[in-house]
Amino acid sequence: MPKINPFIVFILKRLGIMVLSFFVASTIMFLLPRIIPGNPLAVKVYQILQQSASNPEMIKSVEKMLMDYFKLDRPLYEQYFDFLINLLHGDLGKSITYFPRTVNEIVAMYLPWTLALLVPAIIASWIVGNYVGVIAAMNRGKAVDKVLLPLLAALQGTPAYVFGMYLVLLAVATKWFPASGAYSPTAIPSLSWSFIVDYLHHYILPFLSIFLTSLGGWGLSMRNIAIQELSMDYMDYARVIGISPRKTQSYLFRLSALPQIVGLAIVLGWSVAGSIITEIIFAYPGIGTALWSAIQAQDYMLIQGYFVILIGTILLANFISEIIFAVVDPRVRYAYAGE
Amino acid sequence: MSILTDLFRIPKFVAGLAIFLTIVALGLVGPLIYRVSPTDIVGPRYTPPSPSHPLGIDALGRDVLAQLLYGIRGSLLVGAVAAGIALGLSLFLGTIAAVFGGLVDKVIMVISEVFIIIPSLLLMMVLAAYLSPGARNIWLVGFVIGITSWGGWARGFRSRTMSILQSEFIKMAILSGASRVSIILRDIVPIISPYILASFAMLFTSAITAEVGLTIVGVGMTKDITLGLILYIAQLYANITQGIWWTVVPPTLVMILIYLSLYLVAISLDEYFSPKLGTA
Amino acid sequence: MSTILEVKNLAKIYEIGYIRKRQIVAVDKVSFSVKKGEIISLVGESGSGKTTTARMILRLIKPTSGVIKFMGRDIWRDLRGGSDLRWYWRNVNGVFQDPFSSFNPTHRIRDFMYRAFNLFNEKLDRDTKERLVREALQMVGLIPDEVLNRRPFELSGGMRQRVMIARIFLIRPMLVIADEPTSMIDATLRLGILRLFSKLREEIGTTIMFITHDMGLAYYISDRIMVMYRGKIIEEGTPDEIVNNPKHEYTRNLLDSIPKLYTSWFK
Repeated sequence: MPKINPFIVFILKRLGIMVLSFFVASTIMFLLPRIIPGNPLAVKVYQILQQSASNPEMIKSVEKMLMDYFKLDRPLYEQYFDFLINLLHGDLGKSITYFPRTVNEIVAMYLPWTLALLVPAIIASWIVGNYVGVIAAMNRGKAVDKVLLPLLAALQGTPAYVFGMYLVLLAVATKWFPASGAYSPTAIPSLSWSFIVDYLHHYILPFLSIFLTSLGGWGLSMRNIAIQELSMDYMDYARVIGISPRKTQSYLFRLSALPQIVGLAIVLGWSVAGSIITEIIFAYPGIGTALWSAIQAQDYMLIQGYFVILIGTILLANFISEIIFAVVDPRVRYAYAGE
Repeated sequence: MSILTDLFRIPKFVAGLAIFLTIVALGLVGPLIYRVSPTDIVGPRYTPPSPSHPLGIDALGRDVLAQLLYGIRGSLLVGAVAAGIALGLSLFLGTIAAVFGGLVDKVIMVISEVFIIIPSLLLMMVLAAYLSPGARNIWLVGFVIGITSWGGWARGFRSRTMSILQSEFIKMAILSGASRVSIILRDIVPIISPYILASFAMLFTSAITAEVGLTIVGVGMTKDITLGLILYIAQLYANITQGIWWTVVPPTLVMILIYLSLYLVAISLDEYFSPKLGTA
Repeated sequence: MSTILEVKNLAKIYEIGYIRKRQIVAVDKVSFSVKKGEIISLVGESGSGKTTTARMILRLIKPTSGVIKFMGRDIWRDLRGGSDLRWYWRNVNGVFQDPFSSFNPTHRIRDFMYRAFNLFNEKLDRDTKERLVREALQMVGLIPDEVLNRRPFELSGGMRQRVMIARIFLIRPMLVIADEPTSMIDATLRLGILRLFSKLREEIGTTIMFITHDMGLAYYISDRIMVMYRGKIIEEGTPDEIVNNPKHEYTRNLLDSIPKLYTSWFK
């Protein structure tokens, strides 16, 4: 048997699972609206045609686009084949409500706002959560831990959007922060100083709600990992040879942060899907709010497009995290090396 | 039973169970005592809490307390349906995969992996988005949540079953001519039963949260009152940005309490049984 | 005496390592046979492959290669379906080393004993089953009413090992593979357990194969001894042949390690 680099075998296997998952997800997306009794897709396309645009010229072009894209008059397998080909080409079709703009254009318009909110909030909560987790682990069973543990559990159990709701209520009551949007209605997005200040002012509450709720998860998992590390012999050794608690804590932080890096990649991938509702609550102009309006407007093309993008992001993040895991974890690395 | 008396000595367990049972009682008995219809228009919209309407009136002129009591009932039912389905699937597939091994195991593991990687919230959205709004009742939403959230737990049951299969008493059972089905039902299920209970509790709360999420996004419940539907109406009429807290705080508070209480029950079950049965 | 079990070129190779595989030869082309009615011991240190051999004969682990024949039937090729397997385990069964982990902690002793009725072809009514179980427990010196409704953790290790042997009295197999049946039992109780095996042979005519690390025990109880070392059988003979005239250096080491006191215990 020819020897193939085991690392490549591993990557290929994970890639296979990823492709399979994407295939399954898109097949479900394709099949569901078509096989449910009464063919809701056809009904909806017809409804949309009637409501979508006021001028008759546009109705015609939307109709033509929908027929071209869905090909509902053709056999199912042909529709399916076309659907897959379109997906592989990255062609998600054109929006109905924003006709004739493509779904890709609209996603590109909203995605930066979502990323600007999520990435800093999650990275900040990762850093702080890990720190808090180590502190809780170092003081396991003591007063600090007894306060932190239920607090972290409560934060983790509270969905980010519930937190968001409370923060908005607080903002309305105190008038400290604007309660919705990413910037004042009168402001025009630009890189001017005044816009940035306005943006940051709006940014604080949604940031806090995502930051605080993901803090719980990071803190708890870090506490678990750190407690395991603490039970290792080398930690006793560090204490015995008189390394200061502050230094031990920093070793512990570094040791336990490794598995957390993998978690970070996964969470970043999931966060776009996970913060849909938070965005809706804050009327923050990101993917989540856009998906909500697409669902309200029954813009089928957009809904389908968002789903493809969200699932794609998650699959990719998962894949990347697995690669990081294999590279970072010495045990996995040694397994590849042979001995 | 000595196990029960032992469990009742754990403050976490008692507190969690007490809170949860109180909520269940509110949902079951509440509507019978507070006899106000949740769908009737009882007064001017957005009347704040007052003695006649303890939790005020919502955007459509309905009594919020009545909505909440029926909403708890609806959400508990969604949770039970979804958790029942997900637990059934994960327990069945997880133990079968471990006991039968080989190709069966590989196929089940790949399927569960796909279900883990694809976010169940999205699957639910896809499923629910295409179902006609008139059809989205408790049973359908519970079903959709149930069949999309079993993946991770199936792996949990599989790995616990695998570790039990290593035991000598399983080999003894084989030498006594026990079939694989008998090994699953008589050896494995009783031993992992605390874990089954704990996973049911966690599936239950995550299903309730999932229903709320789905409904707020606009692809969930439309027919029956649930905590999600109360929040959906609140969001739809921009109650939050108007500072109308009484339609928002009660349902979310109940959600958090359900989570915390079942979380306490689940971890105390796990902490109590895992070391005893060596299935940690 | 006729041969009931024949083992030929039996081998078990484990492949370990998730990504780069490494082979470990646990059992290396072992051949021997067992005659009806004899007590034979397979002696070796831990890791010698003796337990793997026992498990393969009990049909719990699939061999990598080689043949195990019981009553002329190849147990890995000729047995098909549930009824063949039940026939095999009705005739060949085992007692394990660890009386603690051999019982499901959630089962009562009655459940444990009753399960063996799976192996019986004849359909028995509840009263007959209860009577047979009680008789079997009495055979090993247990009082049925004291143990039947107990759970394993309510019994001592010695009692549990007696229950394991009672199970054998119930099944009445032709061949018993006893894998270190006394090693986890208090030294003072060992003799009692060993006597039960003698009783098994006297009353039912069971053939017994002991798997043990204890040369002293093997010498005391066996008709024939095989010494296993690193997956191979390196020496075979009657106890006296082995003790008086060991051919292999490893056997000599084993003999030297027997505590001198040991022999005096049994005489």
